[in-house]
Amino acid sequence: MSSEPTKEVTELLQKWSAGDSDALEELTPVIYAELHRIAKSYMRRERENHTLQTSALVNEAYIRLINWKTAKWENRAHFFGVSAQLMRKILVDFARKRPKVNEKVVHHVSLEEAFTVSTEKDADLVALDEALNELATFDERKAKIVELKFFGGLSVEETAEVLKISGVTVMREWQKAKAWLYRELNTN
Amino acid sequence: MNAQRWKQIDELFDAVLDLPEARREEFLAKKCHGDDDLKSEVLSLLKAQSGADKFMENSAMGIAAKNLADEKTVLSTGHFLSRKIGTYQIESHLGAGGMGEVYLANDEKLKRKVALKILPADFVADDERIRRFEMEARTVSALNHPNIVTIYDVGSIDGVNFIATEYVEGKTLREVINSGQKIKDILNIVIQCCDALSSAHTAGIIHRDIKPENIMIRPDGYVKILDFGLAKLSDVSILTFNNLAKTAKGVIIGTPGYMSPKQISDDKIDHRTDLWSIGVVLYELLTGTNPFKKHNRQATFQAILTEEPAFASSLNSQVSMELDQILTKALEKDSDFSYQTVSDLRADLKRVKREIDSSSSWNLHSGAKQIDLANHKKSYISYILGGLFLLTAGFGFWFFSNKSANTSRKEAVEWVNAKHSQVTDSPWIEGYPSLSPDGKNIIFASDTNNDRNILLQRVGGKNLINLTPNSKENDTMPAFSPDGKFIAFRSDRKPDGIYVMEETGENVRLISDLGFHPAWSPDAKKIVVSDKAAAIHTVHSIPNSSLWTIDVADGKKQKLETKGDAIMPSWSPNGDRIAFWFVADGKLPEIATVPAAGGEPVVVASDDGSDWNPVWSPDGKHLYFASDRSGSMNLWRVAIDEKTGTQLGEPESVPTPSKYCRHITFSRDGKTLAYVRYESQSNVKSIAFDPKTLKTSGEASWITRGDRELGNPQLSPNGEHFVARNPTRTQEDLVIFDKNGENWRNLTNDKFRERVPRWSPDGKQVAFYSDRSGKYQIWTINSDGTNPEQITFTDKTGATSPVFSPDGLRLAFTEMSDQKQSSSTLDLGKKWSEQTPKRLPPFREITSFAVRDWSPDGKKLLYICFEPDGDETGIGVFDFETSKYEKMTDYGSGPFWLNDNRHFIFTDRNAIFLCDSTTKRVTELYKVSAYELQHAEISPDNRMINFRYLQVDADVWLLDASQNEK
Repeated sequence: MSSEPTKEVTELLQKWSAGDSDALEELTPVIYAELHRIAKSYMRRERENHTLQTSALVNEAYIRLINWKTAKWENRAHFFGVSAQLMRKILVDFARKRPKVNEKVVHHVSLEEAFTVSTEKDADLVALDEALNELATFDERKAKIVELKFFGGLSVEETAEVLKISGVTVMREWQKAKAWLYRELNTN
Repeated sequence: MNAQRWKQIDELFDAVLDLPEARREEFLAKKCHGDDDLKSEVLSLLKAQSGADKFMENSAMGIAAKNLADEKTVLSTGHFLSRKIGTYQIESHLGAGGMGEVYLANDEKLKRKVALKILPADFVADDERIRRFEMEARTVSALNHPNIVTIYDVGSIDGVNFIATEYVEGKTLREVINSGQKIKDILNIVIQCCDALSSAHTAGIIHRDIKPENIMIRPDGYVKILDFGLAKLSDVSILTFNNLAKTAKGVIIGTPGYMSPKQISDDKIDHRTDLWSIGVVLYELLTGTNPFKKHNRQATFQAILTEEPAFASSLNSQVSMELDQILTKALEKDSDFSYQTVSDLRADLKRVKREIDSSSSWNLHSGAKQIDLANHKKSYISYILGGLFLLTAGFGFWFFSNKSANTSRKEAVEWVNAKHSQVTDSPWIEGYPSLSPDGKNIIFASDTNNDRNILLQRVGGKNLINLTPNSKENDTMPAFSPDGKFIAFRSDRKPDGIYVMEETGENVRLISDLGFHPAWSPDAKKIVVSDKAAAIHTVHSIPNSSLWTIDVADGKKQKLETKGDAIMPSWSPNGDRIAFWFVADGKLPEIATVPAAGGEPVVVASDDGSDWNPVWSPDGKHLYFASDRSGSMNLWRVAIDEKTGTQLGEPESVPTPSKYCRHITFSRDGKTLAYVRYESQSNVKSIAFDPKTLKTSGEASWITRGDRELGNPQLSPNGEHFVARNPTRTQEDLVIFDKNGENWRNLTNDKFRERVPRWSPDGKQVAFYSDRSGKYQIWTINSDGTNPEQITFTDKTGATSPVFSPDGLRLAFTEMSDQKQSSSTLDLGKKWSEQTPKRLPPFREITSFAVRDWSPDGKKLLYICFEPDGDETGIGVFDFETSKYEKMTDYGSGPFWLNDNRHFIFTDRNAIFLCDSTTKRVTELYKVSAYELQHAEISPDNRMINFRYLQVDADVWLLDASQNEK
């Protein structure tokens, strides 16, 4: 894989973190394209029963998009922070524009396909985003952890680094944030 | 939630989490001190925590991608099968493309097949793209070109976004590549593509993704370009990481192998990108390979930017040097040195095609050609048969390709390789050529000065000799006598009729006071004429013409029995039969022959197109004629038994480079044929009118431009949209466009003939007449193209020319019958079966009349009346109160009332006139120098007069097959 795109994205992220709002406009198609690429592999892999590999694929995508491994900014933590924030914005916007796949439509899925479509309901990104906003009003740290880890694709260690807390704390906070969000999303 | 309270909950929750499950309840009870709310809060979080195991395990991007994948799976192939979306019943899956799935669907309202593209879900998810898409689709739908697939409808129903387009039956060019197409056919395909692109580029629309997959060929050879301008809307789906660097700046659009250097280097692209792509397509059609395509995208791009493709002639020896040069210029990387417009490329291709068409040595090469083809197909053939049978296989292939061509359209072999040349090149309307028997001279009618004259020109020469310089009236329809010594012709001089003169134009004498279209008997003793003159493109009703034979010596006339209409006769070479064309009630023109003494007509070459202008070949074996059976009006012939008139085979086409041919003539040896190539376009123009001073002001401005045949324009009651008749080479439909000539859309789009649209006074509907029910009847349709409804069901004859009453409650129409026309009014509120249309009182003085407009106060009608010979001979007013007809003028057509209920405008020849119905005074409002101005109508506010402006050119062309045998 060429290193060019990464450089491009990194530059855009830098621009964004420096307060250039145009960067969002330029980054969005890049992220969308990546989503399509993953979705394609997703479909292919699902048919081949290699569902698990997709998470690796997603990680890979994050790595490529946000080249944090090699990023050597003076303010690395700040950069991760804005990256996650940006990812969240783009992904939620994307989810918001999806058509609702309603019951009627799902009905048309063939038996074979229905079998491979995950029975575990994935989080609704839009609802999650709203809940996260709510959470941030009274527990900013948890909300931040979710943003970094879930939206920004950061590992526990990286999240810890950004927030200057221990990895254990990140884990515990993550667990509790998840519980609160899960309850929030499932009671409505 | 209160942060303080949350801290309390969170800490307790944290503590409980570390405890084994059995001890949690007890621990909580103790810690909560009776704060039940706190306890239940923590308990519910605990419960949530145990369920949230997998929750958010996948990251947001993974979830987004997975949702996308699910949608794609759900919305993939066949998902919409047998579903109904709006009025579209989906019938079968046609394929998938960048724009989503494509289905064949039946539009149940308009009863037509459409290709329904359903946009992919990810596309739909983006509001901005949907908006852009709809905007673009609307722009594209304004492209009204026979070689561009028409967009009928763009919309969204139940969350499904779709585009409905014309459904084209046929093959994509991809399927045609490597199928042994002749160079000539390939050129024909690419020239048609150029026509379409040129028209689109003029309208400012770039295709951006020209490739064989986007070009369809119908079985009749018609080319249709798909997905015009849609390419740039399908952007995201083709993004990959490989071109992220570019996509960050802008989106790459196109298909790698067909992309221009500019498209790749991401400079601002323009129409020349399509030019490049069509060049690649041409190369691929000629050689069977894409000149740049490599194993991957990067390599392909590299090749496009740096590699010079091999000469096409090195891959296909049939490719001429000239074609090589054209390809080199089309695929020139520096766009400053390449073709600048598609028309330039088209012109060059046309020239090559003409050379191929006229190449007398073509036949000589056919032997070599077979072997070339064999070589071309070598891998395939040797694979099957082995090298030993190469030559045989070549023949087999040749035979096969010939045969497959035959199934679609049989060509008249003698003319396939004839030489084409243009005889006249004037801005005038040349007509009725007649070749001298020796084929050395040609005479024809042409407008010089202010009247039509008969001109003589040596074949191959340039000098024109006017044979009728002293006549101030029209002289036309010349015909050389069989010995070439005399010329018979029609003249409007006094007395008008048929005259005969010497080949030099001397010794002119009248032989008949009636007649048009003179044709000599083979012994030169008689001339057969028809008593009406007509050109096919003006025929809306029966000419009601009869044939007469005239003795050249004494002018004795005799009517010829033809059992009905007969026009434009031709005498068979042995003198046995006379051919003519005719129109039967409610049908299109057909051809028949009768014995030379008259009698029962025998129809030949009958079909559902217009067949006319029959001319016997000098050997009497064929009847040549003009016909639009394959779309355009072209030359055809049918083998015939000269004695009995029996048809002896299927009609064969005579290939010409023209889209509209007429007026056929032969040299005596039958090896040279001349005809008129007729080209016309009519557009809408508009001129300001002041209803107070009753005068026009300024110059007329163009509302529409281009290669169109618009007619009967009418501005909508709100003054925003025009409706007009828009016949194309293959169809006669109605279109609607904005008052500035933009935003075209088809109101109808089907094989039926739709004519003379009229807005309903509320602007919601359009009435017109159409043969969609079998014969012409009045229909209405909503202005958005929905809900077509048949209004009249006249039993014997058709109904035409709808005119709404100003309150929109009644409708006047005209019924055609064999001898006359008359008008009636009906109640639009009632079904046909529940009413008896009120026939207007019998018309005493004149045989036929037809209502054309209803006065704004509802009290009067404007009508045009016909003399028994069928010519429009004046305009009159019918008054409902007195039930009286009053004639206003002796000439003119298409009258429209002004809002004052007193004046009306009308057209005659090349001018618009105003008539005061109280004084019958006529004043000229506006005159053009051009050939014709028609269909003038006045805008609802009476401040604009809109009219049809016709530009015509007709030249004589020659087909020379005399070199064929050499």
